[in-house]
Order: sequence, then structure tokens, then C-alpha cells
Amino acid sequence: MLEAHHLVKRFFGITVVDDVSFSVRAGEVVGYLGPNGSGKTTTAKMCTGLIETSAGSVRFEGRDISDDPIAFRRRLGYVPEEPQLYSFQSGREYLEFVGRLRELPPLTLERKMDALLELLGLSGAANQAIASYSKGMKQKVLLIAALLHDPDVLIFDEPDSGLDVTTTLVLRHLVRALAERGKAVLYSSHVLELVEKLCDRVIVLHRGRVVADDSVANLQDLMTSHSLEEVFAQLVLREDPQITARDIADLVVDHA
Amino acid sequence: MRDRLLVRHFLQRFLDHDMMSPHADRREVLTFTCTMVVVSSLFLAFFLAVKYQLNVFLPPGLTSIVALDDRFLLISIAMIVMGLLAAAEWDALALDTRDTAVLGPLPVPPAVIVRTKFVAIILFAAGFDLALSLGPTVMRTVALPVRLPVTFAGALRLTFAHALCATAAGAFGFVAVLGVRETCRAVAGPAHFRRISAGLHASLVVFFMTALLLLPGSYSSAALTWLTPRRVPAMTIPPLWFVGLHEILAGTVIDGLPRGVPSPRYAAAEHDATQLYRSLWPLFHRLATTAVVASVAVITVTVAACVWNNRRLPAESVTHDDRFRLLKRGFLWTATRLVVRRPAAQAGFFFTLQSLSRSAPHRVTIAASIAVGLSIVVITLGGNDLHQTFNLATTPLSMLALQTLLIGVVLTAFRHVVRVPADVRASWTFQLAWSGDERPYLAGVKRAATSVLVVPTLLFLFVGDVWILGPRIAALHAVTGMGVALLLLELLFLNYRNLPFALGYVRSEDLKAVGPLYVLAMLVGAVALAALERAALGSVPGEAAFFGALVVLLIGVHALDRSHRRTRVPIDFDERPSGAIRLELMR
Repeated sequence: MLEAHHLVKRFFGITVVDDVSFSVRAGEVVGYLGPNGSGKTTTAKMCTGLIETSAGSVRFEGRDISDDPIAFRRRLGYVPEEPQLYSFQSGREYLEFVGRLRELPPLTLERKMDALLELLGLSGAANQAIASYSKGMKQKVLLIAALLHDPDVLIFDEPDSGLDVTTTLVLRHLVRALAERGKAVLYSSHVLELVEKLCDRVIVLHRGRVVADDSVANLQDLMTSHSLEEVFAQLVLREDPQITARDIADLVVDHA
Repeated sequence: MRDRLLVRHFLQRFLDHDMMSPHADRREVLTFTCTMVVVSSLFLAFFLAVKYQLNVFLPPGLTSIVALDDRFLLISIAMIVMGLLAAAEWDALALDTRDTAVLGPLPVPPAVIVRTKFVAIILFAAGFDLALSLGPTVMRTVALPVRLPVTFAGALRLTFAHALCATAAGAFGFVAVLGVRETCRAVAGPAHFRRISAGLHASLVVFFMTALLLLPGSYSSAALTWLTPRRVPAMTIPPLWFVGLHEILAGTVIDGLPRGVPSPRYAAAEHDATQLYRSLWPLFHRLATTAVVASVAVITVTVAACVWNNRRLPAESVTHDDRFRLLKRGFLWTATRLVVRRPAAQAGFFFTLQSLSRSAPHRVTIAASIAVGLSIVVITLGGNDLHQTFNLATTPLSMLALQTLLIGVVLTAFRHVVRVPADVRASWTFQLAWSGDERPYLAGVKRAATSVLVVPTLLFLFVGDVWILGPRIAALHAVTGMGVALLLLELLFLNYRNLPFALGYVRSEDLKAVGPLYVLAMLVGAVALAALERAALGSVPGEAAFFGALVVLLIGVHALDRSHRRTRVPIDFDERPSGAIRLELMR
């Protein structure tokens, strides 16, 4: 359904995404992992068409998304990493605005919006200015905005960031439920445990390149590991986290 | 060291401003602003000094009276500009929740944070105030006829008095705005203040901008116009308080000079001027006392309100505003059923209303345009004798053209603000949810402008027109205004193929060339339309022909717009200014 072909992105000559290829099929949840600065968000933005690729292409149902980006975005739901919203609007006003821009029928929009606000525990704060929202509340608004129009492809860029435990659990089940309804989901997260339980397949990115693309079980077999955390550590970590942590602690207490 | 660091941090916050591009070089902006302020005030002082140098034999009595105009102008400018500055820095005048988030966790006592914030405000205001008064103070002795035998001590006294009164007036303007803000906040509470803050801010911008625009036309003959009791009592005009103070401090330097034998050209006028000036002395005393009392009162109230509001660092407060719920629902129902029915048009309509009312750069621009409009109204009405009865044939063209000019000013400002992003970081929302057809969204934007800018403007003028022109002609004039507004909106957006409020601001390259031509065209167009209106209204065939022509024109422009938009143009969400603009070659 969604395919990335040899994606490359350079900023001022510095390559941040280098020859990344993967695909996400309908009904599949693909985890997208990598340390900070590995190019996850850049890849996600290229997949939405928000930034242009330096080379390579993103295809949706076989067509390059740049051929008709608007048609693609009609079927795309995206939760960005940074919750940048219009802070002078309330949560409800923002959702109404997005729904209206997407030309959703008013009654459908109102019904869905009210129900989703209620289900995500945001109905009490829906009329407050977004400026007063916590990060988790903003994430919930973004999540609702991404789901309002029943998209076929969902790109979640660290959607669990700032969410409370209950909502994180709801989100986990929601992603699975959406996949069962035929949606293609690309899920970027730092919570390895969540990705391990949620995703059919995992792509691991390191320094802008794909270093693994397989199911969690296959990766565990391949790396003779018991958990995704161990696989991730073997693929990505170049230093022992314990040693790094000890060095940091030593530095903190050093007053010389 | 810590205090100095905090003061510097808060001073930088004054430059971290919504009206400034986040990509702008703050130091460059600061340097440019300071230079502009100093150079403008120097130029003005030089301009005012020229008349004394051309009248070297001007005797002391006349000099005292003429100098009153200059003091009134310079003191008014200091007060108004400082008031405007405070209004421009509205949100930076107090600590906010961001300060609490950043500085709260640090081991800095809240009292230190509050104290350094106010030291920063004082330094900022004082720096600007001094820069503003520097030119006229330095040039004070140049603004004297060279033949007047003013001693060195006298010249020093004049300079000191001007410096003191001008900076005191500026400080008064700044502190008054701060006082209004903090007193309202103390009375209403932080949560309620947030609701009224935008309206208060816009009102102050309108007030100070209007005062500044009207000042050049009203400062001359200050002694006769404002100080002698004719229309408005002098005590109600704050700049005059400081003029009075100035005269008490240094008025005798010139008035006390030996008169000698004035030239025959000035003899009679000099006698009258001396009499008039000396007759104003009791008033100067009262004005000076008012200046001192008012300054002390404003400072006391402001300090008290600031102390009250800063008992603790500001915290995020959440309010549930269920008042006016029925009214809001009613408005929503009316807007979505009658004004904008299509969802994308509703998005444009409501987003425009939200941006205009809640985003500071948009609000200030619209407020400034309203100030320009109000100034035009005051100047036009002031130039006509409103006590006589008008009929359409005798109504001056300027009064009929007023409506078109006012609408033109407001809609031009609106056309400008649609190019300013509501929040450029959040514009990705448009990119993702965009349907590809700008027409319905743009229709919603235009209808929002009609609803909140055009209709209130026409209603405001209609009330006056009913009194001047009678209800029938006033109604027809208002209908003309609506037609003109719709036509102007269509024309202003004819070649606009972008998304209002969504894209990064790209400055026009040809503004300096096109701007004056546009103003000229608007003036000529408004007067021509007024002439046509005067000729057409009053007879049924004339009215039919006039409105018919207006409707045909409107339909024609609308059809042209539709045909332009038939071909879809992809919207460049990452539009960048041209190389020349980015390199500041157009400045």
C-alpha cells in the first residue's frame, strides 16, 4: 500500500536519510525504530509529503505521492512528533477546522469529534485554549485530527509521547484495531516494549540507513536475543549503556 | 551577576516579539529601530527650529506663544509613542507562564525574578524614552531666534526643562498603559483578564494610533486652540499638563527677557502675545500641578497593581466559560446556515475570525487600519460645518467619499494580514488537510471580512449618515458602501492564489512603487464614486442605473475571478522571498 523507494534526504549537503526503502501493507503495523537523530521523523515527513525527498520516491497504491499529493493526503492520517497546533484555538475549534478543511459533512464531523473527544477523555477540556494543554492533551487532539476522516494510511511519529498510561494502552489497542480494519500503519516510537507487542514488522534505522527490516520474531532469532530491546542494542548501540550511565553519574557528582 | 543576567534575559524578551519575524536578526532590528527613533526625533527638532532661524527678530512674547506649539507637539509625540510602545509590547509587560516554566525550577527566589523583570521594563522604557527625547533636547537652544539675548544659564534651563518634561510625558504614557493593563489584571483576575486582554490591547492601539495620526493637524496654535477655554478644557488633555510644567520650569527664561522696542512689523502682535502668555500663567500652574499629581497617582496605582499581580509567579489557569453559550450557539447556527454553508468555507470563515481576534500581529494591523480610518473620519468631519442641514446636492464630496475611503483602508489592511501566517509552525495542518481547491476557503475568508470589518464599519457610518443625510439617502449610501466593499474584496483577491493565514510571510518587492499609486488611485476612486453617487442618488432612474452598474461590475469581476481560478495552481507552502528581498537589497 505505502512504499518508500530508496529515500534520500540531505540538508545543506548533510545526508540524514540514506537509501531507505520499506513498504507497509494494508492491515499491517510496521514499527519504525532508531536512536535520536537517526532520521525517523525526516522519513515520516517524506512519507507524508510534508518535505520533499532529495532522491527516491514514496508510492501509495503504486503511484508516486508527488503526482497527486492532495489525493494521497485525503487518505492519510498523520500524528507528528512535535505537537505544533494553533495555540489560540481550543481543541474543539482545531478539530472543527481540520474537519472542515477536509470537507467532512458537518453532522459526521460533529458526531465523530464529540465521540472521540469523549473516548479520549478530552471532552471536559475541549473548549479550553490549546495554549493551556499539556503535551499529552495536544497529542490526543492530534490523534483525533488524524482519525476523523477515516484514513487508509496512518503514520504515527512517537504518538505515545506525553500520553498517560491509560491512553497509551488505548492507543496500543486502537492501532491493532485499525490494522484489523485494513489500515496500513507506520508506527515510530522509542518504547520498544510497545513496538514489540504491537508491530508485525520492525524497521530499525541507524544514522539514516536501514539496519534491519523484519518481523520481531525473526529479528530475535537472528540476533539470538530474547527481547526487541536486546536486538535494538545489538544493532544500534555502539557503547555499553551501563558504562555511559556510570560516566554521566560520575560527571554529575564531580565538583572539582 | 545573577540579577544582571536575568535583566538581560528579560530585555531580550522585548525583542522576542510576534510582530517580528522569527528569522530576523534581533540586533539588527534593535539597531534599526533605535536609529530610526533618534534620527526621526532629530529631524523633527531641526524642522521645528527652522522657523526660528528664519525669523531672527521674533520678539520674546511671540516666541513664547509659538514655542508652546512646539512643546505641545514634542511632548504629545513622546507620550503617544511611548504609549504605543507599551501597547506593542503588551504581552511582554508582565511575567508569563513561560517565565514560570523556565525560571521557576531554578534556585532563584521569585522576588528576584519579579524585581529583575521590572528593572528590565524600566530600562527598556527609559532607553526608548531617552532616545525619543534626545534630538529635541539637543536641538532645544537652536529652536530660538538668534537675536534673543538668552543667557547660557537660561539656555541650560530651557534644555533641562524640555528634557525633563518630554521624558516625564513619555514615561507617563508608558506607565499609564502598563497601569491600565496591570489594574485590569488585578481587578479581573488572570483568567478573566486573558479574555479581555485582546480587546483592551486593540483599543489602546487604536487610541494611540489615532492620536498620533491626528497630531500633525492639531498641534499648531496650541495656545489659542487648546489652552484658551473654547471647546475642550485644557485639563482633559494630558500632554498639556507637561506643557504647563515646562512653562513653570522655564517659561520665564524667554518671557522675562527685556522687550526693547520691537520692529513695527511685530509691535502689536508682540503686545497681544505677551498679554496672552502671561494670562495663561495661572493655567500653567494648575496644569503643572496636575502633571505632578497625575504622574504620582499613575505610578502609585501601577506599582500597587504590579505588586499585587506578582505576589506569586504566574501559573497556567484553566477556565470554563459557559457564559454566552446560547449567544455563541446562535452565532454558530446563523453563520453555518446563512453565511457559510460549505465546510471548507466554514473553515476559512471561522479561522479568519479566530486569527483576527486572537493573533497579536493580525489584531494590531487591523487596529492600526481602524485608527487610520478614524483619523480620516475626524479630519473629514472637522473640515465641514456639521451644524448646517445637508441635502444630497449640498453634501460635500469628502463626506460621501468617506465611506469608500474607510472601507478601502480597512480592507487593504485585511488584504495585508491574510499574508501573515497565524502560526507558521502549525501551518502543516493546512498542508495535510488541504483539499486542493482554494475557492470555498477563500470565499469563507472574504465573508468573514465582510461580517466583522465591512458591516460594523458601514453601521458606524450609517448612524452618522442618518443624522446628516436623512434615513433614505443614508440607507442607499450604505448599500453603495456594501457594493463597493464586495467589489474591492473581489479586486484585492483577484490574483491571490495562495492560502490566507497559512503560508510564510513574503514581503512585496514592489510595495514602495505600487503603494503611493494605490493610495492615489483609492483617493481618486473614492471622490469619483462620491461624485457619481451624488449625481445618481435622489432620482429613481439614476439610482437604478447606479446600482445596476455596480451589480454588473461586481458580477463581472466575480466572473473574472472564477475564470482565473478554473485552472488549479499548486500552492507553494514553502514559498521563500526572492533573493533580493532575502539579501535586504530592496530596503
